[in-house]
Amino acid sequence: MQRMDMSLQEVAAMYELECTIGLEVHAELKTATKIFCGCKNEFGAEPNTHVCPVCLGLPGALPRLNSKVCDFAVKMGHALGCEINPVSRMDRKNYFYPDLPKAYQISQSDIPLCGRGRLDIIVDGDIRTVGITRIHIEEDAGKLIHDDDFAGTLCDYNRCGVPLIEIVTEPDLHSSREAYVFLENIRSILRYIDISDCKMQEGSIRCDVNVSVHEKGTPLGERCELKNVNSFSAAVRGIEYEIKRQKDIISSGCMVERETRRWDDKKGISTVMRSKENLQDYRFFPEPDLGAIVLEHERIERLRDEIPELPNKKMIRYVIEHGMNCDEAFVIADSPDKAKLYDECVALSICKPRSAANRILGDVTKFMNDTGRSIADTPLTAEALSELCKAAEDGVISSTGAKRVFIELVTKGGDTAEIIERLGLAQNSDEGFLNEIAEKVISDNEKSVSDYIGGKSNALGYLVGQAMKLSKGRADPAKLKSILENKLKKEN
Amino acid sequence: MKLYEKSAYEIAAMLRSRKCSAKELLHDVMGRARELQPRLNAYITFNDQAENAAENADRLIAKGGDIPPLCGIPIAVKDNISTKGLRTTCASKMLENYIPPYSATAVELLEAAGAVIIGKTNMDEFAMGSASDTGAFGAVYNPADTAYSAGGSSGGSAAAVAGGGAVLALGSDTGGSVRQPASFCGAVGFCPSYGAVSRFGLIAFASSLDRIGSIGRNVRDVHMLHNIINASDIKDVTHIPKKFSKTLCGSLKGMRIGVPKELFDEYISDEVKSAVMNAVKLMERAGAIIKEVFLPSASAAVKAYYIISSAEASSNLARYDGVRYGFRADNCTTPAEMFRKSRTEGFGDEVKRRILLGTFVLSEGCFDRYYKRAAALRQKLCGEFDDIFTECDFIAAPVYPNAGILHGAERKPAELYAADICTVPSSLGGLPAVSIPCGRAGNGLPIGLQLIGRRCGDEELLDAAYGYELAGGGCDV
Amino acid sequence: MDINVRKIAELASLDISDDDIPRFERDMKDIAAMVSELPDLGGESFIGMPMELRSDIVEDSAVSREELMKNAPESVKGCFAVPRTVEY
Ligand SMILES: [Mg+2]
Ligand SMILES: [Zn+2]
Repeated sequence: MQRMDMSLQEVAAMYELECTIGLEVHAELKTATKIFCGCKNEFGAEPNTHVCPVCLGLPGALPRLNSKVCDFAVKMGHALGCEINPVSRMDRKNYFYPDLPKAYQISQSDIPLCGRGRLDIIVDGDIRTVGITRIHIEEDAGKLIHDDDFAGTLCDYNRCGVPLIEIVTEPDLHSSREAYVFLENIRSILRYIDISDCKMQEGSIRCDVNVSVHEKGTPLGERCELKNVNSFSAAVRGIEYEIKRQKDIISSGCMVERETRRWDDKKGISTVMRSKENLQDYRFFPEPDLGAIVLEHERIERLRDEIPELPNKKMIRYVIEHGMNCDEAFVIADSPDKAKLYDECVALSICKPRSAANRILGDVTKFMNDTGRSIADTPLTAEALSELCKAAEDGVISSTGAKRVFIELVTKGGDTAEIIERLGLAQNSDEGFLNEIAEKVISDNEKSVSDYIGGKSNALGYLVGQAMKLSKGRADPAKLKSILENKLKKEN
Repeated sequence: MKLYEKSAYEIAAMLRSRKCSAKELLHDVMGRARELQPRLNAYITFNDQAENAAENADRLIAKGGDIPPLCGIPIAVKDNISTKGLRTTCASKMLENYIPPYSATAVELLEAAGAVIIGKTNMDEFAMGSASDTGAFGAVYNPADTAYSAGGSSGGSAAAVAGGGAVLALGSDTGGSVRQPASFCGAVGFCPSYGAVSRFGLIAFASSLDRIGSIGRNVRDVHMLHNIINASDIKDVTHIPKKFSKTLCGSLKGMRIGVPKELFDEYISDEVKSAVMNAVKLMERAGAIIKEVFLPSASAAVKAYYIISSAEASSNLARYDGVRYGFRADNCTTPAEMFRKSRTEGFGDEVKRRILLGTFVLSEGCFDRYYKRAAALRQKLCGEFDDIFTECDFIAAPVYPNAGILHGAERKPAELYAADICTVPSSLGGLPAVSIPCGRAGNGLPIGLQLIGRRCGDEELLDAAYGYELAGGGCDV
Repeated sequence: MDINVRKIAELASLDISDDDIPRFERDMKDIAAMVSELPDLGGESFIGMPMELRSDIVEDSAVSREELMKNAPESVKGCFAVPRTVEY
C-alpha cells in the first residue's frame, strides 16, 4: 500500500540498483613440492602417484609446512602492498567431501600471512583501486574423476596438498568488466613474480565470486557466493547472470537471500548449493599439528626487494609517460618478457621508445605466439633489438629487411650490423629497399616518368638522382638505375 | 625367577653374557602373554614376525661388538601406534583391518634399537576412556584382580607389563592414559614432555595433548625405553630436540617437592590420599623438602581438557569416512550417505560422544564460549605451573581419585571425565609426569604416586622417581 | 543447556537413531554442563610455539601406490572409488 504514495522519482530511484562484487582468487603455487609433504607438485601424472601418507591423510601422518610457500605468499603480499604478519598460524577448516582426505583443509583463518593491501588497475582508461582484504595459504583438494566405465566417482589425490594462495578482495568492484580486468591483473602479477603458472585449463587459477545488488546509497544487501568459476570469462558470465537474477528479484519486490550458488558455465546458469538455513559451518580452529609461522624481518624485506615493477604499474606508466594506448600497454606490460625487453631498450636509448614498442608489439609478439617460446630462452638482447630499430629508423634497412634481421637475432643471435652486412640487407644492395625507393620516386615524379616513356631518355638520369637523394646517398646507383628502368618498362 | 619377571636391564645383561637367548626370552614372554590373554585380554594382535626379530637379535649378539641397547627385549606396542605391516586398530571396528604402510617414528627407533615387538595392546577405542572398556575387542582386566579394569586408555600395555606378558610397553597419554593404567596395574608409567617423543605415526586423538609414553616394571626400565624413543624427528614439527640422557643417581637430597592442595581435594579417596602422603613423607625422609603449593585452575583444567581434546578429536577422527582405508558401510548411494553410515557403524558410543562434544564446542556461536575460553584457561594454568616451579623442583600428587575402577560399574560419562582431575593439568601444560606404585588399597589394587616435572625436565623427573624407588617406594610398602 | 544432538550429529557426519537420541542427549547435556562455566579470561588468539619450516625439496615416497592403496575399501584404475557424487 505504501508504494502507492511514492512519487514517480522515488519509484525510479528504487530501481537504480548498484552491484557490488568481491572476489576470492585461488592460485596454485609453482613450488617443487606440496605444501605439507615432499611429494612432487606436478600436473598431469598418473592418478595417485604423487601421494604419500601425509597428503593421503593416513592415520598418524603429520604435516610439515613448505618454507617456499610462505615466501611466495609474502611476495604476492608485497606485490599487492599488503601488511605482512611476521607471526601467523594455520587453522583447520572442517567439512566432508571425497576429495578432502583428512576431512579438513589446512588453511588460515584468524591470522593470515598477509593482511590489508590494494591493487590499482586501469579499467577503460580510468584508474581504479581495489582493496585487498587478505592473502592466505592453504592446501588444494584432490580431483574427482567421472569415468564412463565406472558408475561411481574416482578419487585422485595427486593435486591434494598442492599449495594455494587465496587472495580475498574488498567488495570494491562494480561490474563484470572491472572484475575481469582485476583478474587479468592478478594473473599478470602472479606470472611476473613467478609464483604461479596460472594455467586456466589445468585449474591452477580459480575464483569464487560474491555478488550483491542493492539500491544506490543504501547499505550492501545480502550477498550470494558463486562457486565453480573456472575461467575469467566464466566469471564475467556468472557475474552478469547473478546481477540480472538479483535485479529481477528486487524489482519484483522480493528480498535476495544469502546463498551459495554453483555456476554452470555450459548451461550459463547458477543453481543453489546451500541456502541461508544450511550454510556451511566450517568449525575453524587452530591446527594443533603445526606451530606458529614466524618470519624474520630480514626475510620479509629480502622478499620485498625481489619484487620487480609490476604490470599494473607498468601499464599506467606506459600509458601516461610513453603515450601508448591501453591495449598496447597491456600487451607489453602483461608479459614479463616483453616488458623487460621494452624497458631495457628504453634505458639503452639507442632507438626511439616508440620504434621499440612497435617492434615488440609486432615481430616479438608474433614470434612468441607462433613458437610459444619466451624471449628469455632466445639469444635476442635488448641491445641488438635497439640497434635493429635504429637501423630501420635511419632507413639503413627496409621493413622486410628488418624482419629478416629480427628472425636471425631471435634464432641465432649476433651483432645487428654484422647481420645486415652479411645478409646484404643494407639499403645499398637490398632489393626491397631499392624497390621501395624506386616506387616512391616514380609516383612522386609523374612528369619525368611520362617524359621518359615519351622517349626522353635523359629523364631517367633525373629520376635516379632523385632516388639517390631519397636513399640519403646510400643506394648503389647502378642497381637503382636498372630497377628504375625495369619498373618504367612495366609502366609502359 | 621366571625370565618374564625380570627387569629389562637385568635381561639386557643376561643376553649380553649369553645367559639366555632372545629367542628363549621371547618364547617365555610370549608364552606368558598368551597364557594371560584369556584372563586379561591385554593384546589385540600378536606379532607373527616376533620370532624373526628375536633370531635377528641373537645373530647380532653372536656377532658381538656394538649391540643395540634394546637388543632382543620383547616390547608391547599400544594399538594406536602404527606398525608397518602389522594390523593397527585403535581398538575400533573402524580400523579393524587396517594395516599401516609405514611405521611410527617411535616404532622405527625401537626396531633400530633391536627390540622385539611382541604385539599390539588393547585399549579404549581411539584412546578415549579410562577403563579400557570402550574398544571393539573387549575390556582389559587388571592382573591384580580381574574384577577390576586395568585402567585406560593404555590398559593393555600396563596389564601386559604388570602381568609379565611384556618386558616393556609403549602407551599413549593424552589426559592420563599411561599414568592411570600404570597406577592401577602397579607398573611405572611415564608421560614425557609434550614433543619429547615424535608423534609421527601415533594415530591422533588430540594432537596438542597426545604423547607416547613408556611403561615398565621399574624406573630404570622405563628410563631405558624412553631413552630410545626420545630422538630428534623432523617429521613432527611439534617435536622438541632430544635431551641427552643422564645416568640415574636417585638422590632426593635437597629436592623441593610441591604438594598442591587442589589435587588432594575431597573427591580423592582417603586411602589414595594417605598412600600418596606416605610416599611424600618417604621422600622427605630421603632428603626432599616438602612444600605446600597452589594450582587454583586444577578443577577448571578438567573442563578445558575435555573441550580441547574433544574439539581436536572431532577433527582428527573426521578422516575416517570409508574412502581410503577403514570400515565402509555397504549399499550406499552417495558419498555423504557412505560417510554417515560408515562412521555410525564403525565408531563406538564413547567415540561418538567425544566427536559430538567436539563438534558442538567448535560450532558456530559456541567457539568463543568453549574453545576460546578453554585455550585461555590452558594459558593461565601454564602460568600457575611456572609459578610453582620457581620454588619447587617437582610436584607430587595422586594419579586417580580411587584405587581402581570396577568392571561393569555404571558411571555417567561426565563423572568419569571429572575423575581425570589429577592427570589432565600436566597434560594441558605439556609437562612430564610419571606414575610410580606407592602402596595398595584395601581391595588389593596398587595405588600410584604421580610426580610432575618441569617442561623438558624429563631426565630430572625420572631421576626423582628413581630416588623414590631407592628410598623404598613401591607397591608393597 | 540446549544441545541439538541431531544438528551436531549431521555436522559430524554421524547418524544417531531415534532410539539413541534421548540417551545421547542426556549424556551430552551432562557433559556440556560439566565443561561449561569456564571463566572468560580474555586473552589473545592462540599462537603456538614457532615451528621449523621444510625446504622445498622433493622426497620420493618410501611407500608405493600399491601399498598406499592396499587398505582402500574399493579402488578402480589406480583411484579410490566412491559412490557417484551428487553436488551437495
Ligand atoms: Mg579457500
Ligand atoms: Zn604427499
